[in-house]
Amino acid sequence: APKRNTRRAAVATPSRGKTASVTPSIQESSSRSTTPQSVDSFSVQQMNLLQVPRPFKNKNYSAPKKARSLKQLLAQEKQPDFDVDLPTYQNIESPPSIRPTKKYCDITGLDAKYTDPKTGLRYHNAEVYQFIKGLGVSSVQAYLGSRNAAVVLK
Amino acid sequence: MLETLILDNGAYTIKAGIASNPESLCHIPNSIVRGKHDRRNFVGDELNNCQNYSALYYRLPFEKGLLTNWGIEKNIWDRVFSNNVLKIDPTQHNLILSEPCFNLPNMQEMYDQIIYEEYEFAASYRTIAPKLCLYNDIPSLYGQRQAAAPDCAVIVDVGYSFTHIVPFINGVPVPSAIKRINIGGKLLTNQLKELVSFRYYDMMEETYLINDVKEACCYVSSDVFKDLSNCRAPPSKNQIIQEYVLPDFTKRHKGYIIPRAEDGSLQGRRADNTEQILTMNNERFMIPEILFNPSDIGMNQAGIPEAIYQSVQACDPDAQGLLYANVVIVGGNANLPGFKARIQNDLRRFAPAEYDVRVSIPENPIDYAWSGAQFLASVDDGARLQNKLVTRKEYLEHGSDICRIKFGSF
Repeated sequence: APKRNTRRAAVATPSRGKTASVTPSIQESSSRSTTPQSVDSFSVQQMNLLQVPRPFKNKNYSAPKKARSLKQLLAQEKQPDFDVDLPTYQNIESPPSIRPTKKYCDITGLDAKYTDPKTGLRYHNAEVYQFIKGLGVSSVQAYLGSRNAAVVLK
Repeated sequence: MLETLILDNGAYTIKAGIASNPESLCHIPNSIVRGKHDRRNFVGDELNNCQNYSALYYRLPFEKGLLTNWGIEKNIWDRVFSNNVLKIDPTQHNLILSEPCFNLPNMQEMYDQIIYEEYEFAASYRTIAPKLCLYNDIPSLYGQRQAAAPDCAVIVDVGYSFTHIVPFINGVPVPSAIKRINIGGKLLTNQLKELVSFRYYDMMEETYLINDVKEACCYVSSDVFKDLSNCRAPPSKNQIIQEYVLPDFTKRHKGYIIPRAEDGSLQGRRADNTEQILTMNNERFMIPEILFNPSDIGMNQAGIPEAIYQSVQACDPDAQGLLYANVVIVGGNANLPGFKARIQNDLRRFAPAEYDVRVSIPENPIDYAWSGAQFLASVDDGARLQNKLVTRKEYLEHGSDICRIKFGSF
């Protein structure tokens, strides 16, 4: 049979710390004896039960890995296995800008430096302003509606 | 120099063998099968010892063509490496392994873990099966004598789980042009089971038996409508109809086709009526027809010739003529009679008129990838293979990333 790597960690000693050695430790103890041989002697062998050999266990046994089904693997594929904050093409996000908004003329579409106080329309120059002065109410509302600034009476 | 073990790890069979000994190639069913009457599990090739193969329950490590269940696959590999089959010690071997196309990265990591940490192979090379096919002597399939491999070829792998069409330019696959059709031998067997269960006897649990029937009776027809109208004719004029005797698992364990009598008529049932006969009429060619027209069963995918056309069209226009001239079909379904002629005709209709269309099928389409890998491992004493291998030391140092870098991924 092929040689198998026993990936179980080396037998762990209890982490309570006092006995840190790997080999079974022999400790003097004046408490009750555990083995018939040492009935007469004062030193008693304390056993570390984690290191006692277990001949009935199969050395080559390795616990079976959990088999993920295809559905689980495909779902795992869709999720990223790196840090959530890492910028990728799917998740580049930015906070909203704090610059003042660029204003454009409602009539011509050129840059609008001025705003008509009476109607609220933005305009590019005096020539456009002359045109705005002659507009009727419905046209003004239509121009304002193109930038969702029209007055809506409910 | 270490020996090289080549495992063409398919979803239906594993083609395994040692590179230095081409006779060691064996086909091992890639499944653990539980027999209802034998009441034991047959791992891999133990299936040959099965006496009664009715109502077999298959446990496959592959799910939808991708290897998900390593618990089962490890048992099968243990059997392959054991003394009963190949008798190898993985630590003393290099491994060439085939994986499905478009294998997921987390599955590829599992492959690497199992190979290097569980079995401790000395080195390995994992790639898609069509790439291994490319190392064969392809020009000889067309009767040409040419020293070098063709610059461009299209390998069509009609396998168990699906069909992949992989165009190669200068020996490198073109990833954007690889096409997949989700139809394979598994679907054809299942479809035949349903059809037979609907029309004749309930065979929904008899996968092994219907697979035998499919391999014995089915063929690819060149003119479907003509054959369909022949099927409607009375048995004396109908040359297509065949009678398959089903095994009864007591006296007879394998089915067979009753040959026609000398005057061309059917034998029919014998007087003692002990045999159960399955009549195969238009199922014989309508089942493989699914490969060419998946819309027959409601699948919204192209058939093989159209997929080859789409795949070649997605490649560089300068290479398309070369690709049409070097189409090789491998995989188990290529054993169907009439396959090559049908693909040649249909592809000729799709391809532009100025291009030559040459389609070929090697004599042993199932072993073609294995023999390509064997060629790679043995030519120049494996010098070409050495720079592709990732040794165990490299893997332990860099992890699965080195495998992804060196092998590429498609």
